[in-house]
Amino acid sequence: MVPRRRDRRLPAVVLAVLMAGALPGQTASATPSAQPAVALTTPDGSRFVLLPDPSVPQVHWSIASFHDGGDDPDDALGLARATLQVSFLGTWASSVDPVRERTALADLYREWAGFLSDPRDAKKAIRVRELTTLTEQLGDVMQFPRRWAAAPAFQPEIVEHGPIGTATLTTIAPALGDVARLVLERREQQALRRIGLAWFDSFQRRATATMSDPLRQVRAELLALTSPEHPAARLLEPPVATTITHEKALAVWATTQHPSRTVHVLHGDFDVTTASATLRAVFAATALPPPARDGRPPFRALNGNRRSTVPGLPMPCIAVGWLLPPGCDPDVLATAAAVFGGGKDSAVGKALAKAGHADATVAVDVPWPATVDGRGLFLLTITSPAPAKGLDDLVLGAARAAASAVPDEARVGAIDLERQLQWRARTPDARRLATELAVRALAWPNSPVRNYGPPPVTGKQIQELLGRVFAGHAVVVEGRP
Amino acid sequence: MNPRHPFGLLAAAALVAACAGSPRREEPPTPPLQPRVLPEPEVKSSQAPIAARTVARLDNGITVVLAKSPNGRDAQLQFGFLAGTAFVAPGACELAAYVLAHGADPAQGRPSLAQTMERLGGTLAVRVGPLTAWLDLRVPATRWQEALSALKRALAGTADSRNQVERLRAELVAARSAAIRAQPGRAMAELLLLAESGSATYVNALLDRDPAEVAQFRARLFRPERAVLFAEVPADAAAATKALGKGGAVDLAAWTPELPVPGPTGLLDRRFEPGLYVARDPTAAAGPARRVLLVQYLPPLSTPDAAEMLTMHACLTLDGSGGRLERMQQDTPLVGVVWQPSVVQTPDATALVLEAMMAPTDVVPIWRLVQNARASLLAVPPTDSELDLALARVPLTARLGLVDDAARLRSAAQLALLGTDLAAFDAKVAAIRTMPKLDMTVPARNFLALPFAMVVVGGDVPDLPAEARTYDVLPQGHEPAANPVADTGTPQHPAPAPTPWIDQAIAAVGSKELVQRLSGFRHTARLVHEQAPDMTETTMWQNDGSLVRQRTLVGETIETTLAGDKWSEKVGTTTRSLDAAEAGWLRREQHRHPLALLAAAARGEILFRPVAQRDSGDRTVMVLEAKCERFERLRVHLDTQSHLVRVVETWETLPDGTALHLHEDWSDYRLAAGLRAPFRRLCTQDDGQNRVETLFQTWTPDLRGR
Repeated sequence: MVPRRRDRRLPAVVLAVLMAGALPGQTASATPSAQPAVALTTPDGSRFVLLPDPSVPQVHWSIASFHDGGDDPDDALGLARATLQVSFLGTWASSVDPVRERTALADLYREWAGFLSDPRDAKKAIRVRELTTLTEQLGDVMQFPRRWAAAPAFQPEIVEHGPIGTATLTTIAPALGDVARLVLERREQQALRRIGLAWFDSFQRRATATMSDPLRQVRAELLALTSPEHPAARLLEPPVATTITHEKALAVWATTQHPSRTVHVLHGDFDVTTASATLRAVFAATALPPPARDGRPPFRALNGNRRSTVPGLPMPCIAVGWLLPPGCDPDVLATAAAVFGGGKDSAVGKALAKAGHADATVAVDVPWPATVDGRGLFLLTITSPAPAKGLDDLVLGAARAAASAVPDEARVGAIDLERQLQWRARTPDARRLATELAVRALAWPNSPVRNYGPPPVTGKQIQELLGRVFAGHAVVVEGRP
Repeated sequence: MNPRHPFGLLAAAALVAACAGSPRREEPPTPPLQPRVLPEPEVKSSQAPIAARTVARLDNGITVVLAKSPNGRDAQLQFGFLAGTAFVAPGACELAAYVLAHGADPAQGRPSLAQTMERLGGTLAVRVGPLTAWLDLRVPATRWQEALSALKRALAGTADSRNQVERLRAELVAARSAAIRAQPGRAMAELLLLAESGSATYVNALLDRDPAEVAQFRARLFRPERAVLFAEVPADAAAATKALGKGGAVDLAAWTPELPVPGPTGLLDRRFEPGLYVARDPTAAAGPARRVLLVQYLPPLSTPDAAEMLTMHACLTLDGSGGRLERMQQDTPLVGVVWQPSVVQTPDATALVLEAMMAPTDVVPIWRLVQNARASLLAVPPTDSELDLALARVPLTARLGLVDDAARLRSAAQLALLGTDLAAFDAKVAAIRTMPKLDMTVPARNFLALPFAMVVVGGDVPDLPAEARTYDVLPQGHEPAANPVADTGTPQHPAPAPTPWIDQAIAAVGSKELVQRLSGFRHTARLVHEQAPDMTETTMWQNDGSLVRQRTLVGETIETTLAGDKWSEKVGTTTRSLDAAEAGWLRREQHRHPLALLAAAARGEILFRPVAQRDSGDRTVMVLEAKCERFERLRVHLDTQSHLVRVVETWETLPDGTALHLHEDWSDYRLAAGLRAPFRRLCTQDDGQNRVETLFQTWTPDLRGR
């Protein structure tokens, strides 16, 4: 090889060239093309959204799945989240002895449970330590990362987006076949190494989140009145320390990662035809058992308005929920929610100020709890330093007014603008865009996948949607100090 | 960045041409490490064409590179200047770019560019590199003309007031300090790419910038002939050019600022200095783990041997998993250190960062191991299997700097203008893959010559090698509280006694131990007087009173020597003796250098007493008066925020008996051998008519042994 001088200042060179007028008037004949998203379901049932873009020089691959508690065993809430966190630590294929390692991992967590029930038992402590050492020897947690790096794939990582988690990586088109096989292996042969540590972490996070939520009792009561079996209700309870077994964790993994429960988004420079063929060939079958049940029961239809009161809260508050009707458009819903209850400039915010509750704060969550296709509640929450008496009537009055009039277009425009800003902030690059789209495709499978910002919403659309929402009955839970 | 060898057009053309070169083959190709049978077709890149780019020049000299964006996609607008951090004192470029983006003109009813972008539903990012500064705008496709119109108004806006610049400087410092505090390691990795030597130094440099410097920087360097616009907008090139041209809807061509006052705009000798950087972080001293970052500069893709160098990089690390470094770790107790890859970049450079947490005792062994792993690339050339893995990886590594939309577009435009593209790079890699025998000695050597650093944050590290450079994470006063208050509201430790001002001033320029050791200094400087030609000066000074000074004016050199009780001045072949008053005058000039004063205070040779706290323009200063026999009367003004000496005031009696009040403004503090020293002095005599500006080109302290 011939050594040549390197230039570490290329951009300046380019600018200097430009400013010297060396390259004016250059053109090329190619024209840009925006290719539409392509939906693909592979033979194993995996759902893919392919978003080719020749201007993105990599391929970003994001896989979204729920860890909202709906697939967790009753005695191990948060286990789905823990399994996701350790899912890049390797598969049975990277084990020295898969059979022996599987047995050792099962033994480890059984011994662990015994040790936690009697931490003073030195023999159990020694046994746990021995099994930990053995499992670390049998499963090389560095081998899987090496194989990703060699595929090549860059920065495989787990990111949480509320109740949805994503596994995202970056690669290039020629490597898609190898990367696809690794993605498949991760799903089908997952070893869940070090799941115990992740479980403790998950438990601690849940404990912290629960204890720091001042309104959790009100929210829990709201769910008790509408969907008492909903996993979100259980997640609002203070967690009880429990232990897990490795078999249980594997079962949760199999459920949450079953092809029917995940969505893959591929975004970047690849040819759709060859990519589709490759994905079909690789994702041909699954050995994961079909999920036995959907742990997210439906919300009960309400025959009339329901009311309840929860004492012992740090401040007066009120939560009002309406069942969301089917077929809501997520963009219209988000804008409508902000128009109705998004802060002091919202319809409810203005009504509060007019009624003398200037210090009250209002917030809205839709859909709540976050789930598939908006099958949840339209939840409005008001906290006030003054007693909350009469706030329920104020909210219900505002709801009637919102359903009967087109909202101010200027306000709608301002909210649209805010949503545009938020969307751009969430998608500063193609990788984050792929992740964002995967989350959206999982949560809203019946809505189109777009690689550009939220479309504008009209006041008429908002009125129509709010009319449908508020036509139903409301659940009102008042919190008192 | 190495700014020493400016590239011209020919060099750029040579770079492009050189890309075509390739070594000859000698043996049949080596099979890949793990041959495989693909049951499915290999996935190709998209066959769809990417947007064409058109280059044009506006009447005012702005170069525009235009591409049509696909329907529905946001418009991307990148406005850059050939004006980076390497052109001026540290911090000035960042502040000038920030002021351009966030400065408003309420009198004219002009909101800031940032406010306008928010109103348009778009985003604005200010990105600064050693050589270029950019405003990256992203707006809904239909708003691109409004965004560019706002940019034009910002560019053409009247000079920003001192108050506004000071407010924006405070904002910028707060934002940067918060970012550094949140991720001190990554922040330092980014700052290395800006040729900075420490995050505290960087913040101090920002604090040290005067609004006048911003105005000067903007007038000289933010100019149309130094500007380029990369735009991806939903309009064809002709329509977009028309809109940008004179009388068009945007009329960017109408931005024609007045010609600036002539002044230097050359590159300073600042560069990414390789080495081991260890953060002094008293607030993290008790932590059990240190965060370590390996920062490897990546070559630009159009560099002739970029593919080979990236291959060597992949052989070494394979992004932390599976490379030679990790394999060498496996044979040591460092096997548990797991690296996480990421990318940091400026508009001019990209670095791949490997990050890991480790015990303090592992830090130095890792540094040694990394050194050994790097050196092994030459001693033990990569095997065929290493090369196979690496070459498969290189196309991806080459694209890691192009994930960010702004960087992607910038890079695509730049490559296109150099007549190359990613496909050409991939073809080069593919050609290398087919070569039967590769001699990687030269690429290895070239790769090892690229800047590389290891950054350690999180607290003390035992047994630091001599080559380690320590730096402060943040300047004094910007760190988080060292003694947090417990939940009970009772401080965990008694409140410390207030630190004397002079001690804070000593800490601001370096440790007391280091300042005490200052026994003299050497400098080269340029002296500027409005009514006289510039003069150059070289000085060597020792605390014992020895001075050798050479001043050159219009080709004539005057050499002044003070040695013991022999004092002389030589011009050409003529030498004359100086009297005691003249020698004393010359010595006091050196003794009142801020660092000389602080060193004397640190050694207890001078005492300072506080006189008053004053609001001085944009700054609040503490005035301290010296108590010593060396000066008749001397006062220093300490900045209460940065604790730097900003002014030295002295009352002198001239050799002819005339009383004189000297006011010396000291600014542009930079790091010099571990001490922060001012690189600019503006000396004003009491009549206000005589002002001499001294611009130090070098300033090197002499430090006595421990």
